[in-house]
Amino acid sequence: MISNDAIYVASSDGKVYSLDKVFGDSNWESDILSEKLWKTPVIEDDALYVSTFDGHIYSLSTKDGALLPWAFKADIGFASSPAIYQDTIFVGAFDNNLYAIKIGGNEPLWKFQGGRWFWAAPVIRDGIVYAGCLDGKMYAISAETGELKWECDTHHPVVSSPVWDGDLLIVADEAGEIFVFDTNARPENKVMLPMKTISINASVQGALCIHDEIVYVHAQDNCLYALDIARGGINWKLSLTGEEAS
Amino acid sequence: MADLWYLIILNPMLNGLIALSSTLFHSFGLAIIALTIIVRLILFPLTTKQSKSTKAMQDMQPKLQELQKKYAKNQQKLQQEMMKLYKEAGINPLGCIWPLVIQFPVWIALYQSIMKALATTPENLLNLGQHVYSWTVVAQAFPLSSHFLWLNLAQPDATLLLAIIVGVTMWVQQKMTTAPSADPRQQSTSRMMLLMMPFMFALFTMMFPSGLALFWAVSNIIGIATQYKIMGWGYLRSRPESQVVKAKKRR
Repeated sequence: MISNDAIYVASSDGKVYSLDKVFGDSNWESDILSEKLWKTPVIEDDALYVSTFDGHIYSLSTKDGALLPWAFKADIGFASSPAIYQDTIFVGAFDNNLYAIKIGGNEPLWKFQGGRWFWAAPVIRDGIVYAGCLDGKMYAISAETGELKWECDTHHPVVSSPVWDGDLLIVADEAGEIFVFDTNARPENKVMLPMKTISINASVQGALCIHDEIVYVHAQDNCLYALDIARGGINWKLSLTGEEAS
Repeated sequence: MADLWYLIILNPMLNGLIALSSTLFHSFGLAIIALTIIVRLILFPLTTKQSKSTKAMQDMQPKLQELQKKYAKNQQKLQQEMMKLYKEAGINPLGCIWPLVIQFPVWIALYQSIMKALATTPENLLNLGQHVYSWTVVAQAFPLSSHFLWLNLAQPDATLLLAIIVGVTMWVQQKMTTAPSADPRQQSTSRMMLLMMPFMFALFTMMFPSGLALFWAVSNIIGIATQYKIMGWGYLRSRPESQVVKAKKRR
């Protein structure tokens, strides 16, 4: 997680580290929060929120890493990184549910049941939570009520968080199929069909990145793909191992 | 084929292991021990059959050696006489192999289940997420605690203790079933095997996650107990036959 002047990293040693964005010097390190932290923290105002496998959400001061008074404890561990929208945290858990938790509250606002874990952090826009699930589905859920708006079965686990290209939602499944959804389109019987798909024929587990309408995908074949969403094809492919990509 | 393996064998065993961890005080170490015992109990009839067949084959060795000497120049006759001998004793020469063949996939599944459940990297945990059932008891098991006694089950044991336990128990178990031989060359091979396997597994213990080594240790201990029940201490107390022969000659 990157803010104006710092990088925040959750580590396998159970601590959160803050590093200077320019020089990489350590600003602070938190206390040990859990046995290991494998999920990315999020920032809201001056607080950093981190989810743990043992079912905690901790809030830390971005200034010195001190624990803030509010923390949330669930009966189940959290599988995904948290996402924040209008003072509410959305996070996936090991019981296959996506939870909505009001910051400062003690009970979840709602939970939404998927077929498997919500591994990737959801993205939220205009009151809709878009969450990919390891059951192979992309769900659009009302952020306020937890009601399903639409879903789309990609047939393969969705491991990485979606990204936005204007009003287009870009989703990758683990089999390397990239789905483009027009979020203004009307779903039929709560089933949304993708506007277009692009296949890269390589497994995708890493985060997607978008810049100037080009989506960059680091696939499991150790290649970086640049996808032109408007054209619906691969612009180029770069091998990250030094070998020449085909 | 791989899907079938996951569906029928690996996933049930993996989820059983995780569910056991949830019910046994959230201890993954106790879950490994419990599942190893359960699997051993299920396979007990096969293990017994295999041990009895092996024992019978070993008891028959002197007679077989006699036949081999007698019909050294007539292989066809030798085969006929050997089959006759097997038939008379009511032994199927392959009787000690097929129980082993059936047990083999189960041991592989148990090994894979432990390795998968330990999920030492985020990629492994992600992979695990695609194999777990939607049972509450399974969901409640996460995160699996990797600490058990002095061990971090996801890491190799930093002390030598577990390696010694695995090596010694494996040696005892093997020694109980390895018949001493009068042939010095065969005796030397058996002695080498008797030391080589425990040494190799002790070495593996220092390299692999200790959760897996815990499974080897428990499995060996149960193996010793089973063997003891079937044929006592077996060859654990006996001296090599060549030494016995020498001792007799001295007298």
